[in-house]
Amino acid sequence: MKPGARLPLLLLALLVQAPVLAAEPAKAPAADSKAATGASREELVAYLARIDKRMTFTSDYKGTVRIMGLSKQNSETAVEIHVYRRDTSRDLLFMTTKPKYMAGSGYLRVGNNLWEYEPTVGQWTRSTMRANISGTFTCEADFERSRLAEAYEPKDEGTEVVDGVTYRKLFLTGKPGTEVSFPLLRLWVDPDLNIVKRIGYAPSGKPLRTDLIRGYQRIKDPLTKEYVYHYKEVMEEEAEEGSRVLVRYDEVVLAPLDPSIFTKSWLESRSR
Amino acid sequence: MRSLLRIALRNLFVDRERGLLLFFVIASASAVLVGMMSLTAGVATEQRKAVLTLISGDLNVGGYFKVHPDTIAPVIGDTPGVRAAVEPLLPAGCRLRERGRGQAAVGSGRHRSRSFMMSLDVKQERDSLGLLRVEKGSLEALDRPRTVALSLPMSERLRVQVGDVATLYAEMVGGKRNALDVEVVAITGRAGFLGEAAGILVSNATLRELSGFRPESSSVLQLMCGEGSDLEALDGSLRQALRQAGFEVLPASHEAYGDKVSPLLREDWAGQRLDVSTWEDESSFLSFVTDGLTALTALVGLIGIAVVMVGLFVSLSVSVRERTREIGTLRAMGMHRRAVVGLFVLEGLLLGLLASTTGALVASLLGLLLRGTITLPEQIASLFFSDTLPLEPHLPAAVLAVVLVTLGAVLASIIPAARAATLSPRSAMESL
Repeated sequence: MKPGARLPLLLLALLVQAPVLAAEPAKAPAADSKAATGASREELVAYLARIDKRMTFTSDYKGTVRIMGLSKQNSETAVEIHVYRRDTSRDLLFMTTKPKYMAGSGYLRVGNNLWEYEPTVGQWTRSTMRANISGTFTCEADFERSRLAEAYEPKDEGTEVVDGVTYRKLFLTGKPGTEVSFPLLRLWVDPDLNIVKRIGYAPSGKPLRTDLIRGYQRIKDPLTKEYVYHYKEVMEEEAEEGSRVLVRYDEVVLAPLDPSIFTKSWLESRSR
Repeated sequence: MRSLLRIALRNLFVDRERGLLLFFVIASASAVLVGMMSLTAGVATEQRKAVLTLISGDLNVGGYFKVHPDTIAPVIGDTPGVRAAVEPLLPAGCRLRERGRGQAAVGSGRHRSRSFMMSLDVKQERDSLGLLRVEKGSLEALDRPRTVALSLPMSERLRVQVGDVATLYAEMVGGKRNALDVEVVAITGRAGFLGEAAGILVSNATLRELSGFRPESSSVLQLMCGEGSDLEALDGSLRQALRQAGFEVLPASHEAYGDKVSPLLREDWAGQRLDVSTWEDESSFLSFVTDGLTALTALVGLIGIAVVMVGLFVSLSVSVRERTREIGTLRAMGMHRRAVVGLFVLEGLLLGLLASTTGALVASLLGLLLRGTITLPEQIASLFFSDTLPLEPHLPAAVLAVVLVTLGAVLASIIPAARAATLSPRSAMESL
């Protein structure tokens, strides 16, 4: 069965189990866990690298991300963000275009620093990987390429069978000195290496956010001629207040981008 | 004189009920006054302790740096240079600690809260850390890079616990804004209003990274000398030494660091300026607590003394009327008017002295017994800088209360005594 056909069924099964899975504590598995597959650290890192690779574009990327509130308290949330990224050099810029009062604000990564631009006052503020983007609870990691292998230390948590499908569970711990959005992360990966669910935790083990990846889009990279699996729809649930948003990744274009896009002056010029 | 004393003492026990009532009223007034003064002293001590632990030394040499006239950062760029100028002047028993200060916002999820931020050197200040009340976690962990301790009210507002990640936002030198992800390693207990005023505690290294200060820099050098030091003289010599070392020193002003920032920002200068301040300057924004309590003590004292005076005046006036025959007999036997006045004043003095001393003693003993045992509601605990009723009875305060109440009793007895003295032996004998 192709990933595109099987995913809705698997996600439906996972959604039914979501309340149980979301309450799972962030405790790392014991080394002799019976459920563990016995994979070595190197194998797990290689496994993560394969996930990263199939989600990374060689070509420049331009896309539109739409964030919509799903629960009562944030039903008014509707944010549109244009994302520009160059995975080969880890350049990243994203600019909010809707709602109107937020239009022109954006984020630019320069080296390891993420800068936030506020067009009303024309001021740049250094931000962090953890900071919420554009008043939502999305963060930088939702817009940039997957870098699980380089940012996290994996631990095998074995497998979990949901509705006849075996998911591999991994518990990831952020490497010391590496900035990550979630210091601890738990992943459920299907047999086709699609992450179908992930929970981000604080170092204390408190769940911060649960994501259900409801669909992927398969895009052929014009440079490598290989297919890249990019998120199509992700449902994010904030653990603390239980508010949910749906993040849609639309209008993806893989074509060379002007290098001037990844500069402060380019973003400033958008709101002039 | 001895016979007058004997007559006065005898008269005190003639009408026991009235005497006991007056004794109780005077003793209560004295006890309330001693209690209020104990509370004022206790609050002042707790406040000083909190201020010296969190925001200030006995004396402080702080820095303000302006890259441009329109930005300001609380930093001493050349901290080793300032330290070299200050250290030779340190009296024996004084020590120097380097602290950082500033303002920051803390963000966690969609919650944000703003507060003053303090930083310290964890390795050098283990004794200071011991004075801070920790609700959860460990302040020792602040030694790790990118960690923070938040006050209990802040952690409640941000809904974070030990082990959670929060983001600090602060203005850097030059005006740019910076952010830093930090791990919450401790939740500190309430420290009165300072829990709000200095709700963020980080290590010096974390503050330097967040504020863009260079290594070895700090915001303030705090001199810890203990009570009884001549801070005024030290203040003057520090200013002089710093000027001689080539630093520009701001004129003295009785204001806290936070209150100085805005006026300094309006001033048209750039570069480094130093400021020498005392712990009283740095806690000037909290003086309303002790000032208010002192005013309240004065008011309560006045009311107490007024009650004593009215009670004694009425009682002695009645006594004069009742003892007209006795006064007449004494006058007929040759007692002078002055002696009659002295007799009644002595009665007031004896009653005032005995009762107020008893009241002051009881209140002082109760203060010692109840110290640290009565738990206070949250709002009052913030006001008093202590979770329990901070009572601190002092002998001078008790003596002052006794003197004031006794003086009131003496004053109250003068008019009835003068009336008694104006009675002629004849009119006194006519009342038979």
